[in-house]
Amino acid sequence: MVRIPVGEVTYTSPYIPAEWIEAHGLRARRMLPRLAANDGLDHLSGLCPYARAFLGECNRSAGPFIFVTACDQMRRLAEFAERPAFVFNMPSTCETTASLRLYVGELRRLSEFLIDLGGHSPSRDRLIEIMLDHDRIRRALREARGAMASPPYARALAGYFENGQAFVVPPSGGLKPVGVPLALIGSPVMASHLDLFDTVEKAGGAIVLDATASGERSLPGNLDRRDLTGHSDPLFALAGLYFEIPSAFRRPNAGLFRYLGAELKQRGVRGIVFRTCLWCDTWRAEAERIRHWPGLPMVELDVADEPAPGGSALTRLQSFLEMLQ
Amino acid sequence: MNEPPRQLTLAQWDERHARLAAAGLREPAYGGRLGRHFEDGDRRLSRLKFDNSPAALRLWNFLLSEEERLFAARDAGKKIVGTMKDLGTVPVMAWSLPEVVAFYPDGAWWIPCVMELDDRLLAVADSLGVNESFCPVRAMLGAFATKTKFPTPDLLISSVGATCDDFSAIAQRVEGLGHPILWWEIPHRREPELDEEAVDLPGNADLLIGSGEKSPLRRVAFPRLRAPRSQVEFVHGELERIRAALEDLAGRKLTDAMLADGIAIANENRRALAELRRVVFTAPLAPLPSLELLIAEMLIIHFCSDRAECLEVLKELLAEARRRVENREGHFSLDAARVFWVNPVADLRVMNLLEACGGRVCGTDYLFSHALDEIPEALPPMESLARSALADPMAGPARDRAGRILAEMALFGAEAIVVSRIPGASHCATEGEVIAREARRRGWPVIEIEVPPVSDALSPQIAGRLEALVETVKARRSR
Repeated sequence: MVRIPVGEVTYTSPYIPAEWIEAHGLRARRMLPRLAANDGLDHLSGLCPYARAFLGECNRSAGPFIFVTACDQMRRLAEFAERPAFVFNMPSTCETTASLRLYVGELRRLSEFLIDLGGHSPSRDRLIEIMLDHDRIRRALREARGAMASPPYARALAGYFENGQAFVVPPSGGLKPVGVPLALIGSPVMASHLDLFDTVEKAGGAIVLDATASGERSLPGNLDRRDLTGHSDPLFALAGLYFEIPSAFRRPNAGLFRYLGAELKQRGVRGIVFRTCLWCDTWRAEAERIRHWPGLPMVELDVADEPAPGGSALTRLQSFLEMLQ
Repeated sequence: MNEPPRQLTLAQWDERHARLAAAGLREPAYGGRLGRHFEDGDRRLSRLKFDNSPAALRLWNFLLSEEERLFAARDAGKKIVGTMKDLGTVPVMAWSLPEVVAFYPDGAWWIPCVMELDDRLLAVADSLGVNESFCPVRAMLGAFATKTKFPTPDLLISSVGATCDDFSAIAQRVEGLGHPILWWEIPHRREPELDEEAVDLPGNADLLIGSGEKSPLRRVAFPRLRAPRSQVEFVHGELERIRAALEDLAGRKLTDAMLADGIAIANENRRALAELRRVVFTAPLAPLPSLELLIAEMLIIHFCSDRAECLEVLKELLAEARRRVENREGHFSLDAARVFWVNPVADLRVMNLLEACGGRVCGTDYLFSHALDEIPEALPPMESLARSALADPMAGPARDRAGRILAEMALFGAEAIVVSRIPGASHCATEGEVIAREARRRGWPVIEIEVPPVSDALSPQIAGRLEALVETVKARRSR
């Protein structure tokens, strides 16, 4: 393979540990893509707008991208990438050690790709250092969650994904979430749609749980430092954390419902905003189940190829919140 | 009993059946008039045209009696296994146990077409929140919810991973209805890295074509399909979990010897089908129409719930096709446009439509080309099955699939491609583009059409596109 000097590797899936990329001396950029006009992809009819936005970003950029098989369309889009692309085979099954081993094997294969790109083989000490660093930031993000309004919190999360840094606003009374507590569940939110959180506030609500693939749900759990002692390979500890991230595509996806059950209750959620991208089968199939399962009122929002949340979203949210208030 | 090949309406077939019966036609227990299936609710049959051979009659009766066969198996104390999505591998394992009958609940996707939506399976799926934005396989969810179309399986097994999201999502909803599923992972097939051991997968054979008389012998090279050893071993491990589940169900061991026997029988079926495809697709006149070939191919994935009878049905079709070729008989005209068809149609009537537009099918990829290839018999059976599963065209990149399609086009002398989009299916947004890109690079004309379960309203548009393709093919010949 031709070595391409590169400093940055881009992806959007939560199942790619930033720590692993950084331990290779490269910058990890977990992108929330933007849908661009004239992306030259109109011929791919039936394509999910989020996947389309990611491919568009890939083909407009210079660096390498990672496509993750958690979504069938993302898996297939790697064939349309005009940049170096790595297809990361993310297991859907999640209850066997074989699946976890497959995941670890893919991380090792990714390592070879990163080294081919100009990265270096990660040292144990450096990996641990980076893991601890990320764990510290994620703990801070989690602690800040209840003390921040949802729009800046969503942007803080996006900032962490984008560059590994979190500019968390210190807790203060004025920034606490106000409005009817809502959960946002469904497809990931594109960068150009982050205004959705402001729209919800404008309508009288507050997203107290962002359970999309671009929200808190996609953060791995807290690191147990005991897993890093002795001679054990820290990669196993890292893989164990990320492998446990619940999602609708896991089979079975009971872990998602356990997560939602606990978080909806703990945060006093009174309503659900269920937001799915057009053609996102994985989430759309769960809509009806989520509507009935926790017994909470739910409003559905569809995302097509619009560059930003439309006015109809605001209207629907306002009606929904009027009903809840 | 033999008449020159022609296509019959349902009513014409019933008249012919009466004449055949009077002349002493011997039929299996499931035989009889085709019209009785219409009377039982399979209304689409009245809109189809059928081949007039007794072999085709047997084929249709075999297909349309599967539901009764499954309920009879349950009554006889057999264990029913619902195998989902892998299309061809797990049934070979299940059928290796004499106590077990395996079928694909996925097959419910044709029920709305065959019953012209009277089954209400799609309406039930709608009511469960799985609407027309999903592939028509959502009918399966309706079938599980209504518990009317097949016996509730004793064991459900579904592949997941490198599969279409529609199916995976719908299967998850099936589990949510209270039907536990044994999920097994089929990883995204990839090329081995330089430092990895590569394993050849089935479907690699280079084939010699041409009779040597009128057409010279030439070799058609199939793209080499390979996977890393680690992926084969992983799938092997997943299939071992399935073996254990089947053993629990059957209450006995599923030994390698039993599996080897099962593979041998599956291969016998696959060889018969491969020869049938070769004879039909390469003949100057189509000895059988495309609709019957589509059904014949579909039998192979789980033997239509009777492995021994499936072979007999295929053999009789093959004999009929050979007889017609020898007699220089066939359907349609010698100048029919020779089309390679990609993806199964949700509405069977569209296969008739192609022929009405001046085309005929000379090559197919109905999503399961791995189930057409023989499973290696020289290897330990579980490894052979793992290799076969990994050869699934839907598990790998679309360019692999395109490579095989182009090789088969050369093998069968096809002149154009129809990519039949499946409404809502996650793979259809991109695969047609990859296949078309590869085909156009070699100068083949390609069109994409989308076929819903009942396509009557779209028939003029679909026909218009098919006619344009046929005209293009014929214009290219005269250049």
